[in-house]
Amino acid sequence: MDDLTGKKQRFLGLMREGWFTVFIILLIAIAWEWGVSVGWVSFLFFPPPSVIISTFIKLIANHKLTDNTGITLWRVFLGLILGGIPGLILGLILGWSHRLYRLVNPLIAATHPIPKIAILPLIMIIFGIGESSKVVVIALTAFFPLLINTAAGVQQINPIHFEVAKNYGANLTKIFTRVIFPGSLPLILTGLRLSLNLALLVSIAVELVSAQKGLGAMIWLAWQTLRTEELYVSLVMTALLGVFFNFFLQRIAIHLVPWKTEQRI
Amino acid sequence: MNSVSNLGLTCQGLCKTYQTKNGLISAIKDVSFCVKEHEFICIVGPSGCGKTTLLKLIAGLLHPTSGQIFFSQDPQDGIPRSALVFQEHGLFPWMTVLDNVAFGLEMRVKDKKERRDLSRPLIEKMGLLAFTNNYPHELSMGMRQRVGIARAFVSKAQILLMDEPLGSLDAQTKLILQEELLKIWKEDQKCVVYITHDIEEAIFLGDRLLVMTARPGHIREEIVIPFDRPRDLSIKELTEFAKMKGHIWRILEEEVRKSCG
Repeated sequence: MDDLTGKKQRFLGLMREGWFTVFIILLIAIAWEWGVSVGWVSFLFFPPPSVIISTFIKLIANHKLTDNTGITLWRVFLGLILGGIPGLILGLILGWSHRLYRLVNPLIAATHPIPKIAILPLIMIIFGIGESSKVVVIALTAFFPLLINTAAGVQQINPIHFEVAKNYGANLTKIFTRVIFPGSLPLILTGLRLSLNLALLVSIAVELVSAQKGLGAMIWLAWQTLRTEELYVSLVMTALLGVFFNFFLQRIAIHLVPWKTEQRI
Repeated sequence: MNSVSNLGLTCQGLCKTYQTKNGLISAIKDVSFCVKEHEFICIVGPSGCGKTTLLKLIAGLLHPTSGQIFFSQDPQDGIPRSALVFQEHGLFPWMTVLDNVAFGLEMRVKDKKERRDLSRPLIEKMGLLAFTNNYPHELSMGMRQRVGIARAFVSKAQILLMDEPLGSLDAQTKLILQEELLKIWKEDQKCVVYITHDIEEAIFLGDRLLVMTARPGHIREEIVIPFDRPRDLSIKELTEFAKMKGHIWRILEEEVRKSCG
């Protein structure tokens, strides 16, 4: 009974938060629409929400929006796989071995803060101007947050948990599957969320400067041809992707780390 | 029971020194004692006298600087030689009560469902059935310690090592758990090494009591506790109990003063 009412209350709280956002967006949209109709807001620079929505539907119908979104998502996915998985594995190893961590940490501290988009030209020299250099930049971006958070996740495990496992005769595999991985999972998920968001951000940035297709390219093309309504459609789509990613990861976290109820990733 | 005379565990001349910033620190020095099979032995001593170090040496989590530990039985079929019950934080926060207890069988029983099935009776015995699928953070301290004790018992380890398992509990919960611990121990009498700083607890639980000195800790006195089992809380009212308590307290007081300088 208690549990049920608790769940209900949580749901209601979430709804209220969600509705508040919707309310604010609606309010701005109405003011915007009205502002354009009376001529206070420039139609060219700020096309009204009604036009943006109709363009949105049109661009979905002629597959332009869906195709470009698909391409961006594919790049994010590839980058996340190619950068995130090595980041995760290396993070687990570095978190476990203090010696290795001390050895590698200065290198991470030196390379992590470099904006990966800034080394796109360099990467293009190495990997060519094709798809691979774009994915490499995204992968490099996704690599660091997962690496750093995973390592921190392993390091914050209470040493007692390792002692318990050893006391009950756990071998290396058991220590990994029963202690290291579950113990660091909350921070791994935090790292995943950061990697995913940054991968999306950098994908758009890379597409802005060097791609023919993708949401970023769409934004740039819309700007160059002054089709501002398409520009807004691409921005809305990008925002929606961000919302979707975070919602999706929150669901995963609730499912995977039920023992950390206070966990808000 | 003729097996009572068999030795469960023998410690011989155990020494452990730690390297710290201020040089070598000797935690325990020349600790020798033996525990018979099915014997419940309590170790009391001033804080910082190396009790936990001693327990970790027996558990194999630390290696002695010198000295040896002999076990009467070799570990077999994934049964751990000893099971350690920690003071606190001994449970895995990411596992439910059921899986925490079942971890005691992790090395012996391959099948997860079987591990869980074997764990349920102990969970029931410890009065935790309603909390089977809860996580440790949802339990009170007393319940968490019950889970830790259940895990140690389910492992079938022949030697149970307890490091002030009831140390952080309130007085009432402590008394209840002491009685329950004796009850569950009576069913399959393992060899228990129980560390505590609570003299009453030590006399109430143990067959024999070892008093340790201040650091570097070694065993100063061995006291056989004469009370018959099964015991209940009424033995605490006996004059003999009070006399024994007074005697141990005087030794400890002396040691604590010594360690304070």
